[in-house]
Amino acid sequence: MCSRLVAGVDVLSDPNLIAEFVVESLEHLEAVEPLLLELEKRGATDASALNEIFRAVHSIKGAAGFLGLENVSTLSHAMESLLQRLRDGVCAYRAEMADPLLRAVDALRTLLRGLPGSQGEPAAALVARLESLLEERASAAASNDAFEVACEAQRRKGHSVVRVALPARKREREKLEARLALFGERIAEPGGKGKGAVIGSPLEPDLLAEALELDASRLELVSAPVVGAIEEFPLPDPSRPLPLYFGQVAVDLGLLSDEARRQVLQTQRSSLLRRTFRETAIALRLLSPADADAVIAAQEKRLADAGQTAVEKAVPDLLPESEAVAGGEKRADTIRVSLALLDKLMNLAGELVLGRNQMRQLLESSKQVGVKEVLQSLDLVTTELQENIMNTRMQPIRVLFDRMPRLVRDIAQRLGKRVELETSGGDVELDRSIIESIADPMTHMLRNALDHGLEDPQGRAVLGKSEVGRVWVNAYHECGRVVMEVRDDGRGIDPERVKESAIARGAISREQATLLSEKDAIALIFEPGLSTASEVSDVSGRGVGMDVVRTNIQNLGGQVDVVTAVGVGTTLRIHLPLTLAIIPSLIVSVAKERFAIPQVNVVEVVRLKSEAEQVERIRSTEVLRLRGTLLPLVRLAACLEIPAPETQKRVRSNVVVLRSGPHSYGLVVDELHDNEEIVVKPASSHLADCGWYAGATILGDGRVAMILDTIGIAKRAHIRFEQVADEIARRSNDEPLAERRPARRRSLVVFANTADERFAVPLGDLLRLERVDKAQLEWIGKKPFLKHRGRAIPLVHLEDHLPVGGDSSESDEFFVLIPRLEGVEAGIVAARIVDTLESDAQPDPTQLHAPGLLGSAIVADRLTLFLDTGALLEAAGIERTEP
Amino acid sequence: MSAPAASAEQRFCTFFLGAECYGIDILTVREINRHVQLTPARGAPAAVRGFLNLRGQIVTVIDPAVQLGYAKRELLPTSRLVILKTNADLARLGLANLVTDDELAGLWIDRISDVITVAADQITPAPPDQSGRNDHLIAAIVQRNEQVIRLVEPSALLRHGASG
Repeated sequence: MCSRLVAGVDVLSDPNLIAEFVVESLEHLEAVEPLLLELEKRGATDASALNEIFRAVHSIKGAAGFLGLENVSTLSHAMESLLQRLRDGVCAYRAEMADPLLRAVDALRTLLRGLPGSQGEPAAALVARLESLLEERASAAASNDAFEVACEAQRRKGHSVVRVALPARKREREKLEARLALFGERIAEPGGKGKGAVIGSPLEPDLLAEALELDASRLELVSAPVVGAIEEFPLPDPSRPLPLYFGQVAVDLGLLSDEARRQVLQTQRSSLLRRTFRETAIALRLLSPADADAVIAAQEKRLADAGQTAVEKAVPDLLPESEAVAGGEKRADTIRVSLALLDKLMNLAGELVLGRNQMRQLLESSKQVGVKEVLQSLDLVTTELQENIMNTRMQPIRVLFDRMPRLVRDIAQRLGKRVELETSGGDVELDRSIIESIADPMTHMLRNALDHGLEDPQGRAVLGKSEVGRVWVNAYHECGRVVMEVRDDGRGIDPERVKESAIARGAISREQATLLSEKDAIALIFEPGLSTASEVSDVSGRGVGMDVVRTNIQNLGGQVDVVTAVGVGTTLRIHLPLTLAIIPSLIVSVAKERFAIPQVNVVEVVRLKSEAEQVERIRSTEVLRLRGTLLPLVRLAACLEIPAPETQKRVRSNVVVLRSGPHSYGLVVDELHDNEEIVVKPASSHLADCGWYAGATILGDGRVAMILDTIGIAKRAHIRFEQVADEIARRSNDEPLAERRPARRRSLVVFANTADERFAVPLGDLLRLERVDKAQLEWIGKKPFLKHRGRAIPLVHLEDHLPVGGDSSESDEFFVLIPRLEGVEAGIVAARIVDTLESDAQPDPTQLHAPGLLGSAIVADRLTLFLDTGALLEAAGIERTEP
Repeated sequence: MSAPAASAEQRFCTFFLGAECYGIDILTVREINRHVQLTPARGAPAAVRGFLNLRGQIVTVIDPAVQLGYAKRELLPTSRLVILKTNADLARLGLANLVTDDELAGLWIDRISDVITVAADQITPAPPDQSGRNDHLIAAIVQRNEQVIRLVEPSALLRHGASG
């Protein structure tokens, strides 16, 4: 092992240099890890990723050698040697390399974190393992594998190496082999007879399939080209179109637009069905079969004309996104700043604000020309400066999400499960201190989902689920709070088992258990020492975890809740307080006192024209007549006991319509101001008892304003929602419906699969409703698809995802409801449509909860389950395609 | 007052509420500000007069007179806000023996007076029923030039009544 001890003890003893090295190296490793995971996942060599990994490890090694950090240097050198061979294509990436490489990343981290205090233990075993991978390769190279050398040569030219299955019939085979010669160079594979022809081609497999007029499943990528790694081989010029493709020929003949061609290519790639370009184009109805024949004829002619020179002209016209991938390396345009410095900047900006305020007071009466303008611009700049510095503390939650793939991989591997992780909402911003505090609870929740939630692959197969378990981690804003969600499609939590476990541990008595509702029983999982895992694994199941999660989240002022359906999956939700989050808010005022209302709570704003005409009383409650319904009113001034200003000038009031849990009410205020993005700060603990506020904030002009808690205000005002509801019901009985039509009335499609269960979906949520014949169904594996306008739309049966019954009538005709959802095309199967009716029924979520169900309500005298189409399709694993 | 420091002398910042003079350990004082317009604290106990923005941090302003059982202070030209250090500030400065509050808070006073240095033996326990009010908020007294200076316990002054 070569060690590059360049400098001596002087450098080594400089703690600043080492500290800098540690920070930089940790950052390198941060970047390396996802790339290694990506390599492992894709199983193919991606030269740009390899290059990036190599460079990072190389620079760690270099600096470590310079600083005389023997252990770091030895380990990174072993990594580098392996990576170098991979990068240079001397040896091919193999799945078993993933683990030692990732472990080496971990070991390097541990070593680095020990610095400068301790040099750590040498990772000899790991180094030996990495070196053994090198030696294996060395012996393979010694056998002088001509095939691999030839493949490598192709790869370095920027060519893909593809194995093409050859047809059995001699004539067809010869025809295909002739075409193969046009699009690539044949590579002789030792012992490869029967496996097909291997060629190196400048075309990507998809495009090659198109060029060869073959079903893409007959092509197998042996190794991908070295993209951008070797500068002396220029990338193909995408601006030069290849005249020989079916698609290109069709465009040239004017039978297909460029747009349509792109669409076909995309569909072909994303479709589950492996079809040729021609088949896909015909299926999409973009090309008639007759036109397709004409294209083939033209293509044959061009191929014949082009002859052997085709290879030189064979330039793949890449889709723009693949260009983007191949494009230059990623470089974050950020620099490191210490937190102490940020805090200091924040304080200084505060001082500046103070100074500005004093200056304003001094110069307010100044007659000097131009002073006002200067003050104004100083004002703006100061405010903006302060805001921006405050924003520097905010971080997107992505920093947390980025750590998850590795965690999920490691746990899944240890558990012998296959798991796919999907994250969304990485842009949601939180104060970095909150992000740090939720990292551990999130880890616990992920572990739980993988260990307890997801079944093992065999178990899933038996249940007819995909062997790959799915876990979703989402972050989003809701009702002014940030919600973090960990969802799995595993076995769900069985309330009976939780009860049994709690009884066994003596947490509750058997009598208490019988009295517990399902929801309360499931909530027992948050009690200390309770676990439903039948055996303790080394990942989790020791009964510590969920109670710790809850405690941690509660310490942050948040809540955790759980939604589960046996056999369908479990969702754990963390609601984080507004505190420190930035939220858009509406600023209102009463008697010149300003308050902020989180925008998410605001439904609409109504200006009162005439109080006498629009406002009336139902016993103690003032109500506003609004579009035929009655809205209870709360006067903010009276509610908060704000005295009216002495110069009582009649102001025209405004009503802010607020959502508060399941109810709505109107808040009467004097004035509406702008919407402001506010940074939420905790309200003073002196205000904790009143419960009227969700926090406090500093407005743009530097004044403090309280943030109203819409639920707290409703409680404070003692709104009698039930009285108002009764009154609405009474009036709608008394008077013609058309005049007193409640605002929330909407059209519902009510359908049923069995005699006793009814479902409803708002008509507005549906894109189409189709009557379908069984013959239109197509099955791919166990999954049904509807052939519709040349597309295959996945179908969802409710009974597969919800605890409901399925249609047992063997009818040939049924209905498919296609929800109106961005980027999702899928159908929900309905055996029969019961009715389409107008109803103001609101689903009550407390009765039932499962992903895909909004709740239940009485519609036309029957208990009806309302579907949440988005959640249902997500639960069914229908993927959103990017528009 | 927290146990008198080992050093023989303590320094107090003195101020007036009406005609009465009070003192507060100067080590607990962060800064003294002129009055700015406060945001009223609707729903808070009477002693909480409002909030102000101190360079990006929200300060709760407490009226010590209300805590001591007197009427609310009116705003006077001499009125000042004595902003106190938080417990975290004190801990950072190695003054963990002093207690104020976890939140940033200020006292609304009528007039600021001198900083006095008092020898430990000059501090005497407050006589009971000295004013007939919330005397437990007065930790001790000092006699200075015919003037009785009541030394306040900041943590009690800030929190008393907040729960009631």
